[in-house]
Amino acid sequence: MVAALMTADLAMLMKSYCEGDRQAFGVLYERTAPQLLRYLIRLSGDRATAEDLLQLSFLKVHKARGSYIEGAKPLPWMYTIAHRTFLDEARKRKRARVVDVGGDIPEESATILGGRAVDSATPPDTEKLNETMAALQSLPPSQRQAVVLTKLDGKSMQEAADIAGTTIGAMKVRAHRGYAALRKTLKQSKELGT
Amino acid sequence: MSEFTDLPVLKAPPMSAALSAALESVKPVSLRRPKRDLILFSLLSLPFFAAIVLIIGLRRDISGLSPLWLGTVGLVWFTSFSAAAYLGFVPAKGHIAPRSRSIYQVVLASSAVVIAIGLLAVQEVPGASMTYPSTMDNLVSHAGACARMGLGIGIFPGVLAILIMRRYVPVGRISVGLSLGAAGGSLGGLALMLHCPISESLHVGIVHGSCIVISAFFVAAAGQILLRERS
Repeated sequence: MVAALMTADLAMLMKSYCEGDRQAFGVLYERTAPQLLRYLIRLSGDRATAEDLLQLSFLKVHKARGSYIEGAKPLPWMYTIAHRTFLDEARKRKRARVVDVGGDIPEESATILGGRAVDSATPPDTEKLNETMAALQSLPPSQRQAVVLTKLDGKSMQEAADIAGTTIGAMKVRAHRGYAALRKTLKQSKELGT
Repeated sequence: MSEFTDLPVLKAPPMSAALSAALESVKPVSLRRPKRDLILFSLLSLPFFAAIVLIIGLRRDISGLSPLWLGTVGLVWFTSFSAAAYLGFVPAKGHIAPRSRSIYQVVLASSAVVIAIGLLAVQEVPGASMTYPSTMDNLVSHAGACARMGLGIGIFPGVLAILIMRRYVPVGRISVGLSLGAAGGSLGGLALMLHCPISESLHVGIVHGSCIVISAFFVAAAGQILLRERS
């Protein structure tokens, strides 16, 4: 049974979980939580905040499981819930732009592009990483979401548009503008640093 | 940017106490079946609409109106109802969240079309239709009864649709409410078209035509309460 769950796709896991299988939720959590956490860290810029948001997002998924439609892809829906949770909490806390990420970068090292854990020989440059995180936080929320989804999470334009509830064309524009603004900010900070 | 794509990989953090506690009592839930919900909504709201039209009666000039005009305008209202109800209940294939962008487009487009038809394509049957000079005073003085009736007829199916859906909708509550409210408002507007003998363009365009938007906003507000998280 557990082996079957490990190989099941997310839609099957979601269905089993809706049928009352707690183990299916466990596997679903193991498979999706890292992606959502990474997304939330990039949105909020803070690991502790992102972990809180992740737990809130999964609570919402649990409470809303009755609105799941058999065969539907749960991941875009979960991303949307996570994004909405981020926006709601940011409004509540009145600090949508958290830039302090020092010390919050996990110690395990690997590339995340493509979404799978792969060992990496060289640890990331924490200073550059923090600069980039700070630059990312300076983007408007819609551009930040577009950059995170398409450039950093490796989602296709279609997937990113589904998550954001917009069209592919609008997502392309947001991603392009966001990426251009991010590069400009990083270039300026580099010039100031030298 | 390359350093940013080399962020450390993350493991799933342990579940919080609140999440673990919620999972302790996990029970099977019936999954949402959007098309079944849509059919149920249609089976309840359309007989309601027919009964209301029978109760309030048909307009006194209906026999003199062009069947083509009646059929076309009726079809526009009914198409607006069908499209809004479909989008409110049925997400895109393979998705769970509503198609918010399409919903906003349909609500705006259908409102614009019915208002334009009311302003530009009103039919009058001399001696049977009620008409008066198109002034703001006349518009206001004749608006009350139709606005109340249209809204009353429109909100009921909209709220009924929300009750059929009655689940926790964590994302897209506003768009679902707008869509289902627009569906109800379309029935309200259609009922007014069949009942109200006024053939003054401002009245038909603005008072009748605004049923969709007003009902959409009312039901969206109701949806914020009825579709939110229940503790």
